[in-house]
Amino acid sequence: MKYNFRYTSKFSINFRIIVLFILLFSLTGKLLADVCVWRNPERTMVLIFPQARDYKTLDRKISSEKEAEIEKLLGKPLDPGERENWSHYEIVGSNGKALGYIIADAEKGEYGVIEIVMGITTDGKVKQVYIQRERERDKEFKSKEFLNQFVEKTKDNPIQIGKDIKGRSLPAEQVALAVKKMLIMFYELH
Amino acid sequence: MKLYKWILFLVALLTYELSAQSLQVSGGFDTRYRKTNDEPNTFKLHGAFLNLRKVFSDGLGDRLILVTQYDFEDNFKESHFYYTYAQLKGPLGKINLRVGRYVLPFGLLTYYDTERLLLQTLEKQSLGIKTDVGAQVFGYVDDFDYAFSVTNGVGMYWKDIDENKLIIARIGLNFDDNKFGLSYLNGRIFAPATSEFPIEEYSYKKLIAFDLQQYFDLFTIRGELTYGRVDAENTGGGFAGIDYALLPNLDVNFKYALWNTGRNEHFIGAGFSYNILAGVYFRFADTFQIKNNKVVQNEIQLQIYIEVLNQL
Repeated sequence: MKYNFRYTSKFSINFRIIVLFILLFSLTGKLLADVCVWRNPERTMVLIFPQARDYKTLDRKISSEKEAEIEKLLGKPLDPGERENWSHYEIVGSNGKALGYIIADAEKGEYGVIEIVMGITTDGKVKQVYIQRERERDKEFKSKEFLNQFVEKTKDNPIQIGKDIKGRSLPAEQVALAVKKMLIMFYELH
Repeated sequence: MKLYKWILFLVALLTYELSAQSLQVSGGFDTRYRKTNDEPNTFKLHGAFLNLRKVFSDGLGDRLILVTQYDFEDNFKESHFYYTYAQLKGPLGKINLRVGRYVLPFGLLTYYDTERLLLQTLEKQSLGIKTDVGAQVFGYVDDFDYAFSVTNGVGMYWKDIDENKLIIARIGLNFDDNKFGLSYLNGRIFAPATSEFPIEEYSYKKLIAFDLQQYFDLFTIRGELTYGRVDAENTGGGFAGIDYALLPNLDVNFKYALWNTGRNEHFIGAGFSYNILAGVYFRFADTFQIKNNKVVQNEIQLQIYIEVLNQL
């Protein structure tokens, strides 16, 4: 049975030019995709906030002044993909009130990207740090003993590996950097 | 009033009551050099895409998600909507309704679409199509996820050409380092000819598939086993793919796939993916298609893949 269909779309050339224009326009942004892909957001949210009823996406634009401020507090430049926009999620309880917030971040480990998801309470303290995905050989940084050291930390607490946080590996340092970055961005942009 | 007008009307009504987050704009360019044993060598923009995503929320959470992706193929000679859908999201994603054109929730394709990768999974052989127009209910409950989809079964086209529908049901189980799924498909599928896959096919399919994804040390292992009937013939096959992180920015990739519709076809491939800088990849793959113990196609591909993301 043959059907006279064309694979090429019937959209007008004008329409295709408009789409192409938007596509090229998107290239003018400084951003290159290097963001944390959140694989099972609902599952992670319930792990960190068991009373969660729902979540709301919150997007923030980052001005160049704010970017400079964040980089100064962090002590290093933000990665591509983090400089113009920032998203986090408000976790809502059964009474409709916020239980806290969830932030995801990706940092480079020794064998690829380490994807980190962090819960923050409404008063700005770390509730839990969760390693979503990693390919590291040294697994010390995934242990509860290591991750629990970040609980209750705020933006004002020092988070230095080997000094404030027990740990020794590069991935442990990257997790500490991620926690510090997420706390600073939360305080500066939420 | 036509269905799509009703959908537009409902979307307009919903968005009036909801607050909008920023518009996420992403795009990609897929440039390839291709050398095969039976066709002239080519170097072209294999594909480019523009993806728009907008989330609308009410006081309690995200409620409506609008997503569209427009793809250009073959040096901009072909173009089409790869997917375009509206998704109503229930509390914590436990139940969602998606209406429009979307990627079918069958086997590995549910979460692993190889459209812009060099080593392909088996959908072109097993399903014939990847996206379709219809409606699906899906969600996540604890470690489980589920999907039930009813679509037209005509792939890239919007209009249904017959009264038959394509039904897919899937249940999955997710853990930190692995996930499994069981899918069932029943219906008539029209798989149109494309520049890449020039044989059009119209057949009645009844398939069942088991898929898995496992992260193990520096390995990512993916597999799918499919079995069923295509028209009156028994058919089946499998896919196994392994990615190994050799260096932080360098993955090596292997695949083996088998598809049987009366005779065995083997697909073997190896390659690597080098992450040059954020959002820019250089990939290489050498693949073999073997029928009756004879290599019918050997394809070498080099790819530069660029992905950008922005918010308006």
